[in-house]
Parts: sequence; structure tokens; C-alpha cells
Amino acid sequence: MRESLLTITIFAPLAVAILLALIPRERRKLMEWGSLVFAIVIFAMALCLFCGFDPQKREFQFIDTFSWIPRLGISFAVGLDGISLLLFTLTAFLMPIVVLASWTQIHKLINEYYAMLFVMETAMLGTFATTNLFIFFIFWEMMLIPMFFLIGVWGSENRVYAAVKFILYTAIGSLMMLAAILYLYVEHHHQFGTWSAAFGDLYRLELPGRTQLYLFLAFALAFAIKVPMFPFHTWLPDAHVQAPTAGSVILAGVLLKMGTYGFIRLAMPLFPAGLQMCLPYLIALSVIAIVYGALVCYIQADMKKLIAYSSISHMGYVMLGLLVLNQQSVEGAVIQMVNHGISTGGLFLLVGAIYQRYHTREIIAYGGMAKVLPKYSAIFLIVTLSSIGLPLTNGFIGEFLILLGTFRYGYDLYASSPCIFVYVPAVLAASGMILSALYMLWLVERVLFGELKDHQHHHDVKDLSVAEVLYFTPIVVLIFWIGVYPMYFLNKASASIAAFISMMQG
Amino acid sequence: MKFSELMAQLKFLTPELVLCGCGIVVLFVELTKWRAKNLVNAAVCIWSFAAALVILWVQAHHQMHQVLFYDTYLLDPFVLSGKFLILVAGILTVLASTRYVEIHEVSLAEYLSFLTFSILGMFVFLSADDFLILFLGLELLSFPTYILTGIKVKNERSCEGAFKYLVMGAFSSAILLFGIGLIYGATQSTKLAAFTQAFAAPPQGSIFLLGVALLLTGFGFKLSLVPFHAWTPDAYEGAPTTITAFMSVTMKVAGFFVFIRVFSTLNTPVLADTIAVIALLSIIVGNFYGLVQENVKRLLAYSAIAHGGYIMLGFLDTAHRDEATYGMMFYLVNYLFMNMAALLVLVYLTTKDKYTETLSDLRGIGQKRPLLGLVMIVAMFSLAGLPPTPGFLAKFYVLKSAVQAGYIVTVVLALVSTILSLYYYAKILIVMYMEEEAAAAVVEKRPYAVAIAMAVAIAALFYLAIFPEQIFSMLLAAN
Repeated sequence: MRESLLTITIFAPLAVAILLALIPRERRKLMEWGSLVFAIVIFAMALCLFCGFDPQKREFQFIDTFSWIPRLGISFAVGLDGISLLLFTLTAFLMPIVVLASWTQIHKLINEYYAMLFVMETAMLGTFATTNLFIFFIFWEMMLIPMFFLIGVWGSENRVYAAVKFILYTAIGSLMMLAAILYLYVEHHHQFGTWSAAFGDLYRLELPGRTQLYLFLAFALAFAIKVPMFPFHTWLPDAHVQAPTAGSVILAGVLLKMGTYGFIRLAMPLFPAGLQMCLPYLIALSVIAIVYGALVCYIQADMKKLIAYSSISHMGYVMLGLLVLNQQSVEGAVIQMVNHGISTGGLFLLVGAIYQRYHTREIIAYGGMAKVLPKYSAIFLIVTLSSIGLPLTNGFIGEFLILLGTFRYGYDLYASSPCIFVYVPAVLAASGMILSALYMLWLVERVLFGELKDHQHHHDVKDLSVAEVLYFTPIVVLIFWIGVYPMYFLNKASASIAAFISMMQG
Repeated sequence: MKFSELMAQLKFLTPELVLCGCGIVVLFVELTKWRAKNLVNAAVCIWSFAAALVILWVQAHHQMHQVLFYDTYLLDPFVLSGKFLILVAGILTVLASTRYVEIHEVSLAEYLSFLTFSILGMFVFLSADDFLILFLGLELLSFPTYILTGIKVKNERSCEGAFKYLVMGAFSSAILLFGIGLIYGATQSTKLAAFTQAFAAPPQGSIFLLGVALLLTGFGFKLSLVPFHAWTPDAYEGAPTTITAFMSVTMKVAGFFVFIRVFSTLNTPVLADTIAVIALLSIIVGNFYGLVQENVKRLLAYSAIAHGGYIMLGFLDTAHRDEATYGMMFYLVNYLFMNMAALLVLVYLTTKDKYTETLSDLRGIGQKRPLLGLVMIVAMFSLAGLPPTPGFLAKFYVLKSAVQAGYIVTVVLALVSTILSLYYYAKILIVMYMEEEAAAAVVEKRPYAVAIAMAVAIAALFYLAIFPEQIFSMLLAAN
């Protein structure tokens, strides 16, 4: 039992989904409490894995293998290394929060909703934990179905459009990746004589440069759409705005990380030559995402859309950190993935909470909320500062490490190509920090401070309820924990990151 | 060969004889005045199909390999597995048909006997080892389906579909026969063995290749491949939904199994490229045209065209014939259950007042009936080929064969057009879940038989998704 803890944790949400589907529709409280309890139990299991992880080892831990289709060399293989451990635990961490936030916000087809959430959790956990390309693809695509329904059934006015856009856009990238996976799979058979889709086996493939370029582009397309990198980001604002709060939190908190995780785990190590050929363009796109994402935030009238574009900007940082490929920047990227999940997840929860009360997401409809909702405003401010990257909050750690790494990349590059332009990515990325501070603080000023707008029902709007305090507390705690003592988290990942970098350079 | 020896060979044909007997008995029961004769007929059918299934299973288990009747009729595990699949589809169809046929005031006995004889024709078609017997089987399977498509005689759409199907079917049968004639001229024999031998190294510039082309045309019609697909949407739309389900599935199974047997020695790159082009065009046409359909049955007809293309892509791997074959077989098994499931949902929802076949008929069903919605979700995403449904595994297998054969660009193009299909499958789900129900539908009494059929289909899909290895082993044994 102990050895299969990882597999059990991955499939437990699926079992819970089936269980929840059997609860009769009328027993709403049972459904909600049941979901919460199970989500916490699954998080506890993930915590066991987190604490039981040995930071010294470089290779995968908690490995579990089931032979599924021996004829095709496809076995259900899972294992966690430092990077996937952090993302795995983040996913399990966000679920109870999302479930609790959904209690007051979802009113129709409740059975299906919680079932979809848990199916989604299995798909996300599986994607991060698997070490077999075929299984990775299965879990990767598996998350499309629940997300499609989450946005399309429980979302806002334009939800069908957003859901269709999401699923088609993401699917086209995935199907291109499938073509590349098929090629890799057959190529492995050509070169080694056996059928296998395990990561370790595929890393050993020898591929000519041109082929690597095409395959890299296919994989990179799928992941770039997910991250999202500019210019494949256009599905994100619609999906985020139209999704229900829980959907937005999961989308921002976990799904976007799957894209960057795909880069670390697959696109980059499998095709180093392809990566090298595309590197300048990818770095350029990341920097564009940082600056463009930040600039577009200024003109947004809808709070959720603003946060969506800020997501694009933040993920630009993460991609930059990954592409630059040194120990600091990749550590910064990995921790920033976790941070972004926490802080942007928190921001979406905050928007959801205020939408609950006033039923509008328009920024101009708000003003002086600090007078009416003091506790809410305090948390809003803390999460904002985390998103900006204020020192002592988690955002600072990630952004600083990434910028350090990017400057160092420029510095190392200057030796071989003495041109001042090698520092351009770093400088522009640093400017992104200022821009993000500007738009977020402006948002805070417009919404929380200033004159109270003329709403009829300010007096019966309550400040944070017990449930809301309960689900914001872990977020705030983590913001400061990672901000003050990040080594606890970074230590788990550094050995794996070092292994990744030496594999990329070797 | 003496007459007594010929008669002795009949014992191997027990499944066919059972079917024949069933068809005749059903017609005789119709002549009686029993009140429950419809029920009796349905029971007779199901029991005979089940009996035939058991006999086939036993025969396949004993690895029977027989060539009967002057080397014209082959029984081997491959053929037996095809017959097995067709019978499974037949049982599901009969389960779904009893109440449905009563709603549409069609004589159940005629319906069932036509169905039975069509299945019998498919058996002959599958087992044929000689072109004349193949043609005989083809006609025997086609004629009842022409009639069944138009069995709702008062319905215009039905008659139109049946007419188009009949005319085009007659033409394609004639072309097929002409092709057989030319091949006879080239090889001096109607035996399939002679054909496959000559096909391995086709003589250049002879009428043999022309015969092959005409043969391909005939097969292309039955398999709904482009450019021989034009009858499919109208026929599928006009036919009663149960017959649409039956036809879409069994004709593919029969057609592809025979295609594999006939063209098994494909060796020339030019011909392989031609087949690749046909397959790719089928995928693209099927996926494009499906986008604008409002009628679910028409939509599924175009999806059938596309799926025919996918299966054909699996055929291209001439170097690894065995693997390619069971990739195609796996796809056909999957297709059987997923298409059945989708159409059975429509059958379930059809009542005297409401004939469920357009998208607007399905509005809000997912919200009111969660189990039915779940069946549709599994069926739709399986048809689209999205993990974790078994449809994905089937597509993967088939596309892997195509990639192994070197057809990368074809596979990429096929995957690009898969996106389009994802849209129209998702559209059905959007209508079911994300729109409000127009008017409350009343189902007088639950059609339990249809529900059982759906449950079987979904259970099979789940089994295929979780334990594909068992199916692969079974298919391998059948090879």
C-alpha cells in the first residue's frame, strides 16, 4: 500500500467523483461536505508524499509501474521528482480551497459539478506524476473534458463561446503534439527495436537536427498554447472571464503550469537541438508576453480579464526563466509556478467573493470597498503585493531568481558575443516588475480606496464569512512562508533542477 | 465431390443456418394471431443471434480453419471474429428496435426478417473465398438494407434516402461485378487466392489494374469512402434510427474485414498512395461537412465517412500486416460500441410525438437525464478520439501504423481535421448541457430494452478503455 501511495493519490479523485455522482441530487449539504472532506484527505495524501520526499536524490521517487498494454510498450508509470512534486502538491492544495469556494457559488447540477472537479483533479495529478509519454498525453487531454463542461455549464454570459474556444484551441496544439508523439514512438522502435514511451527511453533517442526542429515545434505549440505564450494566448482571457471562480482558479493555478511543466519535462530535454534553433524567438516571445500582458492590463474594464492578462505576464516570466537555463533562473521559474498558482488563484477567489456580493466584475462599479469590507481589503492587498513581487512575499523570490538568472545569461553570453543587446531580455523583464506594480496598485486604488460608489445594498453586504476566511488563510500563510523561508520548498526541487540542467547541457 | 460430402460440410455452417431459420420462423410467427407475436419475434431473434454467437465463439476457440464448398467458403478465426462483431451489433439493434418499430407502425416481423437476412448476407460476404460468392453475399446483405432504409414508407425523407441508396448501390454493385469480370479475364479464375497472388505483383498495363480500380470503387461505396460517399448522409438520415445504427456499424465491419482479406497482399506504393489519398479525403470531407449539420443522424453519417478514412489509414502499413490488421479490428470494435451508443440515445428519446433526430430535439437533455447525458458524453468524446476514452487508443493504434508506413504528412493532416470533428461532437454536448430544454419531454414508459443495449455499449467502451490488452490478445488469436 505504501509503495502505491502515488497511484492511489492520483486515482482517488476519480473514485470520489464516481462516489459523488451516486449521491442523490437533493442531499446538497452531504455532497458539499463530502467533497470538502475528500479533497482534504487527498491533500493529506499529497502532503505525505511531499514530506516523504528525499531532497538529496536526483532521480524519480515513489515510482510505481503497472503494465497496461505490454504489446505496445505502454505501461502506467508514475514517479515524482522535485519539480513535479511541487506542482503535484500545489494541485492537491488548491482543491479543498476551490471546493470550499464553490459552496456558495454553484447552484445548478451540483452532482455533475463536483464530479467534474474531481475528474479534473485526477487528470492534473496524473499529468504531473507520470513518466510515460503515452500516459502523459492521456492525462493531458483528459483535462479538456471537465474544463469544457466547467466553463460551458457553470460559467458566465458568454460561456459557450469561451468553452468552445478553449477546447478547440487547446486541442489543436495537443493533436499536433500527438503527431510528434507518434513519430517519436515509431522512431524509438526503429532505433531500439522495442516499443516504449517512457521518458527515460525517449530521452536517449538520436534525432537529426531538422527532425528535432519540427518535433520541437509540434510539442512547443501544444505547450505554448497552454502556458499561454504570446501569440497563442487569446483563449485565456475568454476562458478565465467566463469560467466560474473555481474554474478560473484551477485554470490559472494548475492548468497553465502544465504547459511550462511540459516544456521542462518534454519539449526541452527531448529536442535540445530544436530548442537551440528556436531559442531567440522563444525568449523574445516570453519578453513580449511579460510587457504586452502588463500593458494590456491598464485598459481592462473587467477585473477578471485584468487578472487573466496579468497571468499571461507572469507566465512570461516563468518561460523566460526556463529558457535561459541556469540553476537560478530555473529554480526561480519553478518556484514562480507555485507562487503564481497561489497568488493568482487568490486573486480569482477574491474577485469571486466580491462578485458574489455585488454581481458585477466591472472595475468602475467599485470604489472605497475598504470602508465596507475591511478584512477583504486586507487580504486583497496582501495577495496583490504577492502578485507584484514585494520582498517578503512569495512573488519576490520567483521574480528575483528569474531576473538574476536572465542577467547572468546575458553576462555569460556577453563573453562570446559582446553586444549590449544580450541584456535586453533582462532589462525588459525587469521593467515588467514595475509595470505589474503599476497596474495592480492602480486596481487596488480604484476598487478598495476612494469614494464609495452608489450601490443600494452596502449595508447588507457582509465582510468575509467563516468559510471565506478559512480558504483565504492557507493562501496568505503560504504567501509569507514562501516569501520568508523559500528554501524549504526550493530545497525539494534543486537536485532535480540541477539534474535537468546538466541533462540539457550534456 | 459427392453430394453427401457437400451436405456434411453444412455442419460447419450452423450459425448461418440458425440465422436462416430465424428469418423464416419470424415470418411464420407473423402469420399467427397471437397477441404477443411481436414479443415472440423479438425473442426468437435475440435467442437465435445469441445461439449463433455461442457457436461462433466455440468455433473460433477451436481455431477452426476450413475451406468449404469447392474452396469458395472460408471459415477461419479472422472471419469468425468479424461475424461475431456483426452479431453483437445485431443483438443490440434488435434490443433497440422493438418499441421503436411499434412507434413507427412498421411490421416488426418484416423488419426483423430483413435484418436477419442482411446479417446472413454479411456472413456470406465475410466468408467468401471466391468472387462470385463474394458478390452473392454483397447483394444478399445490401437488398434488405435498401428496403430497411425505406421501411417507413409514408415518410418522404425515408423514401428519398432509400431511393438514393438503392440507385447508387445498384450502380456500385454493377461496377464491382464488372471489375470482377475483368479480374477473371486477367487471372483466369474467380478465386480470391488467385487474385491475391496476382495482386502481390500486378502485371503492368493489363486489365487487371482496371479491375482492381473497379473493385476499389465497389468497396469504396460500401465503406462510405470519398468519392463514393454521397449516398451516406441521405440514407442514414432517412433510415429509422435503429437501422442507421445497424448499417453504420455492420457495413463497416463487414466491408473492412473483407477489404483486408481481398487486398491483403498490397505491395505497390502507387496503390498504397491511392488508398492513402482516399482515406485522407474521407477524413477531411467527413470532418468538414459535419460542421454544418443540424440533424444528428446526418452528422453521424459524415462522422462515419471520416471514421472510415481513419480505419483505412491503418491499412497502409503493408510491412507490418498483422499489427495493422488488429489495429483496424480494434478500431472497428470501438466504433461499433461508440456509434451504437450515440444512436441508441436518439432511439431512447424517440416517442410517438417526438422523433428525436435534430440538434434542437436534444436541447437540455443532459441536464434532465444525467445518465443519458453521460452515455452521450462517453460516445461523443470517444468518437472524437479524446483520451481517456477508448476511441483515442483506437486512433493511436491506427495512426501509428500509418506513421510506421511513412505517411507522416497524411497523419498530420488527418489530425488537423480531427479538430473540426471535435467541434461538432462538442456541439451535440453543448446543446444537451448548456441550453435550456425547449419543452418538457414526456416518456410514457421507459424503454428498458434500449437502456440495456446502451448499458452494454457503454460497459464495453469502459472495458476497452481499461483493459485493451485482453482485447488485443483476443484479436491476435483471431488473426
